[in-house]
Amino acid sequence: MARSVRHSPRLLRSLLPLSLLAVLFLALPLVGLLQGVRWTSLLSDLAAPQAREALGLSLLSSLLATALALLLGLPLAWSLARERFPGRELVRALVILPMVLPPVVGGLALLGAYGRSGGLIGGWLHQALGVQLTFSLAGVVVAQTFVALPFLVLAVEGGLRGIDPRYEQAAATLGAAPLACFLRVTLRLLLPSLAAGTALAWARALGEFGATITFAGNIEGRTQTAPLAVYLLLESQPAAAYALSFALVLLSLAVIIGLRGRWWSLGR
Amino acid sequence: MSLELHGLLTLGSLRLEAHLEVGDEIVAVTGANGIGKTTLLRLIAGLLALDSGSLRLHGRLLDEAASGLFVPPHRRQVGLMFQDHVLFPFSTALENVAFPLRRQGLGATEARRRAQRQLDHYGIGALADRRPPQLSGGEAQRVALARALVGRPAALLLDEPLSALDAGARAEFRRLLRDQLSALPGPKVLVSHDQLDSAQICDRAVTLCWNGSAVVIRPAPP
Amino acid sequence: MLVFTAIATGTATATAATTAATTSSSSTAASEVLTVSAAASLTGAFRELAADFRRRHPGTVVRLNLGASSSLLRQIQAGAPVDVFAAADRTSIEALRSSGHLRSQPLPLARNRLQIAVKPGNPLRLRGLADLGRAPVLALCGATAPCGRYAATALQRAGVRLERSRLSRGTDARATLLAVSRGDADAAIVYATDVRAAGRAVQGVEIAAAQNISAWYGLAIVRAGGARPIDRAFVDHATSARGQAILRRHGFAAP
Repeated sequence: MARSVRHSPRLLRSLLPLSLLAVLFLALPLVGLLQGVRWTSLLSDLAAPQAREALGLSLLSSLLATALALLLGLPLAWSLARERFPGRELVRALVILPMVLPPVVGGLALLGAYGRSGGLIGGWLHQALGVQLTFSLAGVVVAQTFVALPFLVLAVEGGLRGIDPRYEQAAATLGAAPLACFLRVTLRLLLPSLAAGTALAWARALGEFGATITFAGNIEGRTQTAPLAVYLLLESQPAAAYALSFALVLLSLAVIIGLRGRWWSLGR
Repeated sequence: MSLELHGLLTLGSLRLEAHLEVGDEIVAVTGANGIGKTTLLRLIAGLLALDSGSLRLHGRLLDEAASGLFVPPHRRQVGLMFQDHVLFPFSTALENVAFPLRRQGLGATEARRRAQRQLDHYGIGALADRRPPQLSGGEAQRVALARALVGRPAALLLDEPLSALDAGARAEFRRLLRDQLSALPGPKVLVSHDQLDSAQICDRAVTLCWNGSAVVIRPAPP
Repeated sequence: MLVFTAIATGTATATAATTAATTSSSSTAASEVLTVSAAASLTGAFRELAADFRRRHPGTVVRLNLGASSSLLRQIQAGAPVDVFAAADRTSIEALRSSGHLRSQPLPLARNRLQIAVKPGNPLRLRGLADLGRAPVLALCGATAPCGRYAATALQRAGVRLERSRLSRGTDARATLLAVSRGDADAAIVYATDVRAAGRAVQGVEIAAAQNISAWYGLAIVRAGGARPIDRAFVDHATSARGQAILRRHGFAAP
């Protein structure tokens, strides 16, 4: 392999030490968090009922939210990337909105739509179908999906746009019907962005706090996810709160690192 | 004639008045850069539709503007080899060649067996397990040719199949093309800007040129 | 100038708990900045108190940091740059005394009582704590927040035991009330002053005096570098007849 020759000003190359500052900026709080963890009782702290329940609920709800985000997000990403329709830019702005909205505002918005009392369709949902989203696991999933969906849609849409159309055209001339072409070629080429989008959406769902507590409430064992438990345990059982935080960091890191090795390299 | 194209296509600023009849032969299409050679191939392959006129292959109507009839590319049995191979990057050479066989309904085992035989036939059987990034330009082009031909298409279109190759690989690939294309019945259309390529591989040549109001197809000057 | 003082160290609560009430332009050259951490239930009263204080001390910037007293206490112990602390219970102030953060003797500020907040019209016809068994979901403050501990005491006095699967915990008194005023909780136990501040969004149901608690509010200077005259002036203002009148208007009782 030849050495690559860079053509960038000396000034810009001296930015390397500065970027170290950014790394420190991100890493230091993590170290600070680790320092708060009581290692000797980590496992028993995590096994305490409130922590265990919250972690289990977080895993379950974030996985359900990710699945729901995939179900809703894939068609939307496809339409945004491949179809032309009036108001497409408006739809894209709408999709990004939950990303920049304060989560609490998102929670209030969800109440305005799906709240049993005073929600646009929440009353009907309750009367006609007997469904109440607030104070339920379903509500947690809805809140998490609301904030996670944009990450999935944007990643998949970007992935779809990045696909060279000639691969799909080649597949067609080789006899692949549209569905086979989508499943065997498009989806395969999309896999890296799909995996990245799914991981981001899942991580966002796992860390959700504001929309969840506002919309789904904070009921132990029912809607109290790990981030909520961290906040509430901080005063009464700080060790449990730190143990839960550590578990959340570990989980997210594992997924990010796992995905890096598997799919992201394939994308190149 | 096996391939009969009489029609008009407008695409952006391009206005292509195409009258082309190809029998059981290899026809070279030449012409200036950007004049519409690739567009002509995409039209025959079914990646573009005629604005007027019709296209037939072995008497079967593939595209007729007046009636709105249009056979999509995957039902045309028209092979198209792109300028730079366009092999699926997530598949091995073997899986790439097995792809059209699987689409024809062949079982996985049989498709792989036939694909391996095809690769052997092209002298690249040892590369079966490699992925496109691990292949040289010449090797990739061979795999692409093997993939385009393995399903025995009723017609084959080739877009500058030699342009990405260096001089050594080029001469070799030219021989391979000549042999393989001659062995395949049906019309073959090869786009090339290289006189030598056209002369050595093809039976005759046509050229695309601007006649003042549209791009038209004329017999190439000898 | 200390305008962007990092107040919410590590805690951004669900509601707009960290409301900065800037009562003076920060561009005033000789301005002094006063950061007051106050229990969420004091929100309305302290906004008015701060505005009134600024009129008396032109050029002073009063920043309000609102939240559950237990959260505010934790922030101060973690080194948040707070000058004055107004808590909804004695426990929080005493905790600061033991950790050595008090810079003045704590002074009594006001008293408050609990009420049951219900949806307008009281659809479940709740008449007191004993009826709470009929509410599918009851919103309470966090178990360590003063309003959460007071509610636990009141429920215990009334002999009411509720399954935890029906208790939703808010991060502070105001956030807890939000679950009834904007959300689907059927009832919440919060301060009577919170119910009053929420206006027509909720309705208050009295708790029998024998079961109710009398919440003690106090304030003290906690400035790390020692009390300044402006800090003392604020404490004096809050405990003066003028300051007390403001608290009365917001429904607080005399200390």
